[in-house]
Amino acid sequence: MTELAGTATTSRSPRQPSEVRRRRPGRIRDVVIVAVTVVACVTIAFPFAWMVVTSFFPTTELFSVTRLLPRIGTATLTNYVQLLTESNFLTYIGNSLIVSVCAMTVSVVLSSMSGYAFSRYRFRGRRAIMVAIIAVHLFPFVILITPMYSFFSELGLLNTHLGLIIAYVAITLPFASYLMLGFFQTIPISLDEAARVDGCGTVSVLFRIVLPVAWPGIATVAVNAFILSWEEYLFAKVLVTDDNLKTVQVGLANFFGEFTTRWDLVMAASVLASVPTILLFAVAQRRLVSGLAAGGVKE
Amino acid sequence: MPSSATATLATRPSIGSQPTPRPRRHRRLSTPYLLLAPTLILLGLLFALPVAYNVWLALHKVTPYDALGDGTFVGGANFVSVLTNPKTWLSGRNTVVWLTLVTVVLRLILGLGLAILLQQAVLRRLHLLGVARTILLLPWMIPPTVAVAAWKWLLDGRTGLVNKVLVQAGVIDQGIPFFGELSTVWPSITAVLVWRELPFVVIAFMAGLQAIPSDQYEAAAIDGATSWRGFWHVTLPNLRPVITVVGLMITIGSFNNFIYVWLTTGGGPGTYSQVLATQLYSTAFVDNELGKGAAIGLVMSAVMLIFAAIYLTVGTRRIDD
Amino acid sequence: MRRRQFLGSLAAASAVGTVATLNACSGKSDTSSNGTVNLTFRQFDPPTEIAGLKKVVKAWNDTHPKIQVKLETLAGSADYAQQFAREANSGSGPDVVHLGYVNVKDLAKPKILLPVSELAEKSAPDTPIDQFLALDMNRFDDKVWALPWTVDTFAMAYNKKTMDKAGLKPPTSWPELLSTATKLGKSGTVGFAFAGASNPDAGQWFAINYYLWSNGISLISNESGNWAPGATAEQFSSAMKFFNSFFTSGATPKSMVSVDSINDPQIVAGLADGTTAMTMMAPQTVRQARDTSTEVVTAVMPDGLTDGSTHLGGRSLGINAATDHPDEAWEFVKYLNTAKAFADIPQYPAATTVLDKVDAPDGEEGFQKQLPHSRSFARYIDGPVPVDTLQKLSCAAFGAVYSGQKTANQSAAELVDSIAAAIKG
Repeated sequence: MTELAGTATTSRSPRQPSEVRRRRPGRIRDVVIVAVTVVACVTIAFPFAWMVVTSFFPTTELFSVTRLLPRIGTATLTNYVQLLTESNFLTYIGNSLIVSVCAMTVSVVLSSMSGYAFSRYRFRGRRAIMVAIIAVHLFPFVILITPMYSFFSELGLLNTHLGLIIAYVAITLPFASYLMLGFFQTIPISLDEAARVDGCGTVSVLFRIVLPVAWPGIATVAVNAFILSWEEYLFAKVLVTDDNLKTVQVGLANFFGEFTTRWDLVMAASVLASVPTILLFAVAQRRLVSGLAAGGVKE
Repeated sequence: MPSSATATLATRPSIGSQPTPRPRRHRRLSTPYLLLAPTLILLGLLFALPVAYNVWLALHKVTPYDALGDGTFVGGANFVSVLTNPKTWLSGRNTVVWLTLVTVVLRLILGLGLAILLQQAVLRRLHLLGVARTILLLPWMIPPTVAVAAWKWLLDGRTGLVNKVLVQAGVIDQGIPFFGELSTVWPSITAVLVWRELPFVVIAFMAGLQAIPSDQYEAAAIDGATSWRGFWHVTLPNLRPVITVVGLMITIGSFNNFIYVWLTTGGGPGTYSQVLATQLYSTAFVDNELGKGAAIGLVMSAVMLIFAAIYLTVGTRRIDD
Repeated sequence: MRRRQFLGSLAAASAVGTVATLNACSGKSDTSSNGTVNLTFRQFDPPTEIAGLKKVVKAWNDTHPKIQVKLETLAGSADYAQQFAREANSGSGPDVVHLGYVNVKDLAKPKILLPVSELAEKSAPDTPIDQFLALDMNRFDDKVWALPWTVDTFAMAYNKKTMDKAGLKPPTSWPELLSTATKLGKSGTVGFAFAGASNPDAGQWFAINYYLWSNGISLISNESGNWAPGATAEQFSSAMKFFNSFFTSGATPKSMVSVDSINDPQIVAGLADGTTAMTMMAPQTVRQARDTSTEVVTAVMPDGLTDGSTHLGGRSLGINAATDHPDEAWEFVKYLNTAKAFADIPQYPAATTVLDKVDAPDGEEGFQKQLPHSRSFARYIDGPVPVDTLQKLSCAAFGAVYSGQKTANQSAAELVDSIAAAIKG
């Protein structure tokens, strides 16, 4: 797929030695692999598929005791039509996209810097700082949110995209830094050193040698940061109350009422809300398997 | 970790023979600090005062409706009340055993298995790889409220699809209310949690597997290792930093997790599935005892802090060698 | 690397710092520019329930060019009162806020709301303030802190066709409800659906209370002069056994043990298509069911014509104590309580002069008959234990019995102990 021509031997995906030597057991093995993959995919996708199905039927069709599935004749698009006409849902998706993409970008940049620092340097207070960063996630946000609200209010960051972006960068940074650290640790320092011996400056080392190899790790951190920002609810609800700036999760929660909950709209909204993330991942998953060979530095 | 296979590998001059980097003395002392500065500044600005406030709360009697700074000082009374409450220990046991241990182990094993599965060449040949990867990420796309709702409907004792299929297939006579029976409630909560949180582990391991140079496998193969030995002596050691980090992340995330138990059972049936995070929330915001809730939070933080410190010391010691 | 990374981080930090400073310098947004007062009114019903309210707000904006009201919706989150408190304590938040009756006391104590009794003295609403229902939930320290706006209760909602086919009538007492539901359950119908989950906000809270009150007991009371659990362990135990017998006799399927919401789609759909015979519902939920089938009609709850056997719930309108425009906000609040507004708002008004003239929509006769006999949760609110805590304790206690986690006697004894402990504080 992403293998460069002539570098087949240095591709970074592991090939099982048994394939080379034995053919027939290999074929059975292949069948088993495909079967297991299909079963895993079906099991994992099933609830999601169920959600998509329910979004095309009225709620009353979903709770029959006798029928396994809703009657095909009652399939309808009204849920989606109503969702889009009776609420600002597309605006909410737009807001979430802006906030999540920005938070993801900043988080990736800052966390790769901190991850690099942790993995390549030994300095005083390294372990303490590592623990301090993760300490952020050890405190319950529901309790921290009240003074944070005052803080954001003082700074005038309420009801702004920037406020949410800052909050989400702060929330995703600790785990992102750790992930980057983990991924950088799988890249041997001898790589940096070999490059430096070859005369590369530190900038080149990072951007032409280390980063391409760490690309799958960066993609992982990026997807993680995006999804965490996309699904975040507490800060979005507290920091933004203006209907034009609401994010998808708050907009979705709005359909839950004390006396009525429009589950048909909720399901349609959830399907719509998943679309951007799925598209993002469909694109990103190729990056997760970057085949660029750092093995070019092989002696 | 050293075995005959890697001992032979160590003598090879190819790059990547050592999965662990050797740190070098930095030339300019300030570099790592400069790299860390933006992160530390942002986190400090945003979290320092709220965390101090959390500590302050734990020492006072406060309601969620009081203004910042209003409250009566009670010293350690909140902590005493929390730690002498038998419910706290029951919640703690549920949190440690079911919510954290079981789900983390399941995710690590299944995650690694799936990540390796997605590396197999046959899938690439059949062009199934992109589709499979995207499908395996779907659970993560669904908001938690909707995911829980979908699972509750699927597992409903009377109208749920799972029960309808099982009854029609003759496996059971009557639908099982999975979230209402003591024997099935924790496995059901575990299923929802693991289902939704597995994709992250899978993609993290997938990315980690990419970084393993294939020549290590070739070397192992040439030395006569089977694919199982290859896994044990090449894959696992190389993946160790990623497994360490991912393990820590999901352990902390699970220990503090609130949403899955709250939305599925609210701690029920009765108080059977109560965990520390739901107890915190209900103490702080249902009973209006914000101070006691903050105290529970601090106890949880202390436990996780100790865990993280031990974990990091043990987990990264080898890296420093 | 070092220089580039350093410059990058410097740029990022200064960007954040600059924007933050600029925002802070611009100051709080001005609510009156060129003489127009801009108010914010926040409500917590889903956007699909407020078409009428939007119309009413628009009518106000059209006729009051100098006082413009912006309608905010913040639904789906049970902590809207705490969020309002958080904002008001910071000096911000909406000017007019939609509250549940049970929230008013929590906001009155720290004086987050502006007492409306004082505003009413200056400028009285169409209906005199003492002719509003549920004042007992809104009055503390001799002041009324929020104006009751709408009222609701739970009535017996049933599928007429299903009941007629079985030859049964809506029951008038709780034991009769059990026997009627058991008969229906024998034919595969859900006799009586209720949310039997143990969640802290589970819907069985209302059923439990109606049953207790109808038997002359309650969860907490101060009849003896001091606040104490409102029943003995034996009495709670028999209540738990009563509700458990719905499950054991087949009147209610065991699957209801995991249903926590009073408006669960299963219950609504089941009632509409006739597979569920009876349940208890609020007016809006009944309307949702009737959208699918007009066979859904209401009757008075068992023993519902006895004063105090059912609850009078509803919402109030509060004015933020930190508002810059209390008088304009009060004008708007008064407007929302007029008969004209309620011509478009599909709720039962708390203003009795308006309520008396309301024609209950088709199918809601049960509410109309029951409302005059409903009494609010003031019997709990006046006590030292938050209503939410009582809900949490009782739902968990009853749910423990349905699932077999505890026996009825065990659970009842623990319930008495926890209520006593909560009173002590």
